[in-house]
Amino acid sequence: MNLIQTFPYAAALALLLWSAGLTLFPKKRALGISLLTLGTLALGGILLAIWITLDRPPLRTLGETRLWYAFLLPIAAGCICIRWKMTWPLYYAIPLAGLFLGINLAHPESWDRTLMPALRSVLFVPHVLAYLLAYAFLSAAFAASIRGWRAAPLSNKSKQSLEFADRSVQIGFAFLTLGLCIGAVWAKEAWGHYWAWDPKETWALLTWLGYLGYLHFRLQHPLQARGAFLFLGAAWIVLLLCWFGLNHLPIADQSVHTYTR
Amino acid sequence: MQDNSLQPPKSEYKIGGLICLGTSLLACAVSIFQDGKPLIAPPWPTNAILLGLVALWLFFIGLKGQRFAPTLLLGGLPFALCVIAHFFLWVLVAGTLPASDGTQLPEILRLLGLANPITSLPFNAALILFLLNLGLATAGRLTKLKKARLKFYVSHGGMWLLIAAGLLSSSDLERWELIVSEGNATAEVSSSDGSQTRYLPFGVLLSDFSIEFFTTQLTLVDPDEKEIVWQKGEPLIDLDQGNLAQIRGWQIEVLQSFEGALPHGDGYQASDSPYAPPAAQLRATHLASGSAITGWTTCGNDQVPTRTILAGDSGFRFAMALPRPKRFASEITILKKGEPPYPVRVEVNKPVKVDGWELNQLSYDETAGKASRWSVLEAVRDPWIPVVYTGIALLALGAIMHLLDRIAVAPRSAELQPATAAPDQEK
Ligand code: HEM
Repeated sequence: MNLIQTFPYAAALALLLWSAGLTLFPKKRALGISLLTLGTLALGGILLAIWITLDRPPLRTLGETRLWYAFLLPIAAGCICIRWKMTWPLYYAIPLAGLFLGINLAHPESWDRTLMPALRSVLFVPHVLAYLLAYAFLSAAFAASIRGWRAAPLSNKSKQSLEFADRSVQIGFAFLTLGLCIGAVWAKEAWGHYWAWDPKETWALLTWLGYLGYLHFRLQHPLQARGAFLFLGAAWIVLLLCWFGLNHLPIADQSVHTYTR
Repeated sequence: MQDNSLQPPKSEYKIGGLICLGTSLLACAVSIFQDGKPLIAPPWPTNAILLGLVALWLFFIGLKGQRFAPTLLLGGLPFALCVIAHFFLWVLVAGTLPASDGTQLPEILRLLGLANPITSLPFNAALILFLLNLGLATAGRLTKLKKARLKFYVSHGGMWLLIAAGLLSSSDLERWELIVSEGNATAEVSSSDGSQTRYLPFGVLLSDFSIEFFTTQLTLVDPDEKEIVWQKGEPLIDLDQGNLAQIRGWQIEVLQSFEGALPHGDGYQASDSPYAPPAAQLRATHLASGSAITGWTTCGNDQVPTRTILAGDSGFRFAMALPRPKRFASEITILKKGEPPYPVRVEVNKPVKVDGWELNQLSYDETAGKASRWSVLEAVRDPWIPVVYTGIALLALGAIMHLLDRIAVAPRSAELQPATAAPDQEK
């Protein structure tokens, strides 16, 4: 359990490196990028350590998924930034990742080795990872929508934000769809049917429908930037409700400790 | 852009919204009139014929009906937004109503079939409108086949197939529970509420049921052993022999730990009996005062009482949490007339297929734990699975195609034009 106990230090280190990286970034680009990368790697390292120590993929509890999210959001934003040559999204994505990491620091986990039989499947990791990648990209889109909402309508800043948001949603929505498909196949193996309409599935579908609506809204109204930003905010609320409000993970309904029968 | 096409989208939204509202109201009225009767898909082969006919009709529309205003509207983007929002609202209703047999629900909700939203008329009406738009949108592109639009067909067509097949196949889906005890064979299965039974075309003999548990963990209970007082965020301590850990100012050392043990004198002795619960001997040292307590704890079972250790005057007891199953499996033999017995293993996440049936490991005698002498399997028959899986595969493929396409898009496309402007603007 020793490596796991270093979690608060690794998380604090990541937050420190990110803050320093973001501050230095405008003036000393190479140093800034290195610090941001190091901070993200620190999280990746602690995730690996937890995985090895627990002897199971740390994708089971909400806290564990938040940790992955804090790791993946900078990566998702970074990928889009490199691919489409922008830098500003990092200033939205990394603080958001830091917020989720901060929640974990404020609510320490009880690291638990156990993994119920239904979760022991090769589809467990791809399913949850697809969802977390989707959440990372869709949150990057949300962050961009805030920037765009605050910018003057029709300004360059607003257009830029919308472009970034659209790209993130298209990538995030693809992962959301993949997560849904993998989940259906897994449910068939584990529970006998691919879709059982339980609350988790229902809210995953609502999230999917929300972003499906956004994509088609954008096709129909390419010029309505403010409507798009509003749409992204609403869809992100549905996403959060699905993730936290309803404990989307299959394990969530299992209580942490059963003592009496 | 469609924003300035001939028919202003505002009016398309109005018409679309009215169609959705009208459909919902009509479905509600019919549902009330029918006393909340669930909507059941027609059984095989009617459902397959229906699916074929609808697909044929869509194909025909796709070839001929594109200049026809109603099909343009029903297969268009503004209507897509209407049906997505409309369906979203009904899923929201389904997702927020408490799952129940409906007896606690207000009468009006029961009359709308919302005790089980999935078979309710309004919900399915919304889904059918969704399908209509999706189908018409896919079909409407048939005469404009272009390689660039392949991803459009794959995702929309796959989605259509998935929903249509899922919807129509519900009456052909059979799910039965099969309960069998070790050494016995049965072909009888029953519905999960026990109201119906039938026989499978083969028998299932249970040779062995096996279950494996995780190492037991320490928990904390109140002095009366009524409630768990261990809280989220506190460490979970594995009761492995030699393990040293700290909790609430106490140092815990696990002196001995048995997977199965029976009371023996003041303590416990390892035992192979399936009726022996796990037990552990702990030494707890209060770090501030240095006082130490040694004692045994077991979660107990039907035969052996629970035992906990009072933590001085700290106001709680150290206890053993119920062990959590790691995996469970049934070694079964399939018995078929005129064929040699066929032994297989059924495990959670590893179903076996026999003659169009799928056997899943569902449950076991949870109160007996590892002493469970019977196993609950689920026998599922869903002849539409290949169709549904084709839909899922197409949808996933479509997602991957959209993803790769996105990443391949030229970096500087959107100076003035937003990135997602519809590729084709011929409408
Ligand atoms: C499965 C995920 C889906 C994705 C990734 C997706 C994506 C797209 C894209 C990229 C287009 C523009 C295609 C083009 O112009 O070449 C489009 C058009 C459209 N989509 Fe979807 N869509 C999906 C599901 C749906 C659903 C479920 C519906 C209906 C309920 C729908 C209805 C439409 C309609 C009506 C059009 C316009 C067709 C036209 O103007 O000819 N889509 N979609």
